[in-house]
Amino acid sequence: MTRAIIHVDMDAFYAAVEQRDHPAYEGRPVIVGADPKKGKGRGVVAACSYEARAFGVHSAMPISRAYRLCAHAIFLPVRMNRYEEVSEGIFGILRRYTDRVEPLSIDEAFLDVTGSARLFGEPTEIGRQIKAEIWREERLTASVGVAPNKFIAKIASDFKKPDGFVIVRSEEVKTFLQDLSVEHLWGVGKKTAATLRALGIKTLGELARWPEEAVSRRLGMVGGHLCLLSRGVDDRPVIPEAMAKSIGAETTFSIDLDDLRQIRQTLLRLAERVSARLRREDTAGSTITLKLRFADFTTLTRSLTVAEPIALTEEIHAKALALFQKIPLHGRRVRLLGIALSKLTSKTSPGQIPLFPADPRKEKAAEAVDEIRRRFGEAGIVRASLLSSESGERNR
Amino acid sequence: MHAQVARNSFLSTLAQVQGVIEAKRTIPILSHLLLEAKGNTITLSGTDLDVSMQTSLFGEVKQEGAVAISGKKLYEIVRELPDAPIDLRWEEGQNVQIVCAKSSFRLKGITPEEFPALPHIPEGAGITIAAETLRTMIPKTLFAVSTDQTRPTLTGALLQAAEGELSMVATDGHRLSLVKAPIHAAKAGGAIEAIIPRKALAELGKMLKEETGDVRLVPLDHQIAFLLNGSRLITRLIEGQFPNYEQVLPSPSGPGALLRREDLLGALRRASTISGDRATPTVLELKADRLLISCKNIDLGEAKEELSMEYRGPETTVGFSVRYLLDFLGVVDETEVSMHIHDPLSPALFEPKKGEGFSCVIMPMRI
Repeated sequence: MTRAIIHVDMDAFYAAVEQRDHPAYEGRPVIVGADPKKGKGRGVVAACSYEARAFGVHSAMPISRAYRLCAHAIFLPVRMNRYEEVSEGIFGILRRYTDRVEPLSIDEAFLDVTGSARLFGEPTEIGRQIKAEIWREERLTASVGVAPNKFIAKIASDFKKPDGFVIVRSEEVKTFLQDLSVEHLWGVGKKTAATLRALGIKTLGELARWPEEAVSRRLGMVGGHLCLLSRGVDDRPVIPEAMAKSIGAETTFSIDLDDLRQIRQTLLRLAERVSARLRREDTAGSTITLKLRFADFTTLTRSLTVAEPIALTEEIHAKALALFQKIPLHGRRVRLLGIALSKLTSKTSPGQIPLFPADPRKEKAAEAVDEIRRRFGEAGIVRASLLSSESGERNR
Repeated sequence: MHAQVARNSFLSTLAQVQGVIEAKRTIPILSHLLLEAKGNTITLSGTDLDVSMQTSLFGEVKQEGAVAISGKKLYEIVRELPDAPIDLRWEEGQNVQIVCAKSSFRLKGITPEEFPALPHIPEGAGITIAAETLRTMIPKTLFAVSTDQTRPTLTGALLQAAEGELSMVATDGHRLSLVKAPIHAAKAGGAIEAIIPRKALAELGKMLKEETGDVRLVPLDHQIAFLLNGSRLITRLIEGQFPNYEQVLPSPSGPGALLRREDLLGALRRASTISGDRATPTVLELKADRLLISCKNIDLGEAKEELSMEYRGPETTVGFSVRYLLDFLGVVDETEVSMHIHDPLSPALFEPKKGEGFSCVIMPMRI
């Protein structure tokens, strides 16, 4: 069966986040990394904007060199916490389409959407939506590649960077790879490339025409693997993160909200989603975090830790509301709301046992609701308090 | 208004009343205390609209009247004044004048009409209990009151009076404390069932401090009043259903384990230095005549203690949050405590040896 793999790679991620957070940097060369100290700095470039790349600056380059190439650039320190926060939002978007998300780094991931077609449409459509949602919710661009396997998807996402969107269908694989240089192969560095060149192999097309044994004789074990890749064969699976450290859901409104009733309803809807996911993973969380982004993109997170892990919608909603009520709004409009539970534990893991056992009927009811939704979809059963609501949310 | 009071008694009265007034000044008048001079008494009142306290002291009243003054400032000033008579004087449209020995202050005052009226308390209604008895009940329940605002009914102690008995119970959902005492049978009135907020309990404790005599409890509409020797505390009640606590009270079967309070307290305190936060269980291993206490903290290391005890039940191992055990031991007056542990997943019962109507139920932690 043909798989559908998507590779998502954020464009100049750290630099792009800085440009977004500081509109004054937009369109200007931004270099994130060590302090250049007027050319005497000793660290390296962590990331740079495309404007800086035009001057020949690239990541991992010594900061002193970058300073010489582009002294007028905006040099910024690495704000890892901030990038992680943004990254979480992006991974949240990716996980809307499948739970088979394999993060490669803070700003890069593989998705296996083979099974998502019935729910979300064709893989190309999913790729397009992911790009659009990342832009709409985070104001950042991603390059996306859609292909039958990881190898091609990764090349595809890189093909038209930045803001690229490249689809390689099964029948197009051969043509797509044909003229690519062998350096596109993972694990092919200068040395291997030189060996291949000595054989007269410069492109993947040329490599594909060589018999596997002949290549293996010269390159060893890896040769066979490279041959397969050059023919577009790569069956490595997408391996989702072992165990989620937190389970959450968030949503961005199509119109920034200041209606408290709608906000409360949204929190209820998010609590429902988180609760269902917790049950699916057979877990509960003791730290609840509320994320709130205002229309001006200022983002706040507030959390609280409870003594007993919670998983029921009502409990999550109550805590989220309590957190929300402590945030002074000062009339600001809300753009995004999110709820996440962390410090996850299963029912049998160590911890305080409640004195008053939870009503088992509540849990049973929640499970019944999950089952109804599994059979008839999200709208199969709806809380009465959410019936009247116009969701105003851009996404599920 | 014009009156004279003794500094020391004024200060202790102020200390009592100013505890209830609002720390955050959202409504200015709530950060004020009402001073009323009438006959030969000065009455001080403070309120945060939920809890109100009123108490009076002897004063030489030269001109009757009343005024509201910033409670915090008045308290700070009086605290620093020498032990000499304090002269308080106020006239409409002027500042309040406070003169003591060679010090004098002028403070802004607010007309008494702006101060919220305290509810009228009907004469002779309610039930009575010895102040000393009620005073000892408060610390035995206050520690178990929840601070989790998302479970409002647990943020107070349930007070129940019926059939010649007064009981108070508090729980945070992990442990529960229950204390009972007889009411003066002759004066027993109607039944009372009310959830008293934590703050009111704490302030009531202060009001009863060093007092003798009887406290009168008067149920009002959504409120309850406590009256004692000219002082009164009125509190709003927490609405809602207190959990059915009787269903989790374990019935003590057999004699349980008997331990010296001091020994257990010392051992647990030492073990608690390792336990760190609430998430780490302290493990109790009950053997014949011996109790092994241990606590392992992956980040720090471990602690082990051994105590001798009287125990004839089956050997068992159970984990607890050490804080809950310490909280209980901290309010026990007796030298020996009993411990009834059924199994590692059921509520355990802790009591002073002689009982005395005090029980603490602690739910174990899963180890």
